[in-house]
Amino acid sequence: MNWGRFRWRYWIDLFRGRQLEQDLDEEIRAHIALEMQQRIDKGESTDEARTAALREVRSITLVKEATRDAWAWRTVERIMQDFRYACDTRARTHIAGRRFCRVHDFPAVYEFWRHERFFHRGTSGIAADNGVQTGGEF
Amino acid sequence: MLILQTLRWGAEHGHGIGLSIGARSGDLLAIEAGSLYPALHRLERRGLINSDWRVSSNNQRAKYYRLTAAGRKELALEESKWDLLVKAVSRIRKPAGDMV
Repeated sequence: MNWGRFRWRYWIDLFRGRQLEQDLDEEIRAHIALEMQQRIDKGESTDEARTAALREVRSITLVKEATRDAWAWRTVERIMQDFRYACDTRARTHIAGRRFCRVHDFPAVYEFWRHERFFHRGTSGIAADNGVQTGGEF
Repeated sequence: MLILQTLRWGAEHGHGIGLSIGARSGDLLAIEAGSLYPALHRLERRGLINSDWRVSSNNQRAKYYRLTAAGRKELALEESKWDLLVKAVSRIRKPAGDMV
């Protein structure tokens, strides 16, 4: 992970939050419009094309939610949510002898760590998890 | 890697990238919007691609993505890793002794 870039992207994303949302809305709308146009060109009626295009995208809300997770400030926001949740759970349960700061207490941190490990170490990270060595002479 | 490879031939919008991957794979691969857009935004965040708004051939304003220099480097790296992986799996499936 390039933390310099991440910090920079975090501030950009934070200040451009509304713009990013509008851009994402427009991007998904454009996707649906282009899919509709392609289907109309193939001979489908407007209604059929619209229904099929919306079916192809499935859930617009889910697409947007999954895309928002790629934004830097969303990662920090989720880490903060996890932290608040962990503090709350800890305060409520008072489990004796349990270490407070385990990575699994923070799903967003764990997921982020796994994601970065995957993207920055490539397939070797996955292969190592499976006990397979990809290095060496070929 | 598939997205970066598609953008090697020029700027394209999300819908076009999905179509291109489908067409080039002989319709074996279909990338859903729910996977495509998060991947595009992650690649953009990592600086491997960048984007700008343009008007498509059928007069629809769309966000076009294009490969950056870092993206080209990453693509070359990913391709070499993929080649190694394919070679390794092929060797396991057909060990040298079995090949006549």
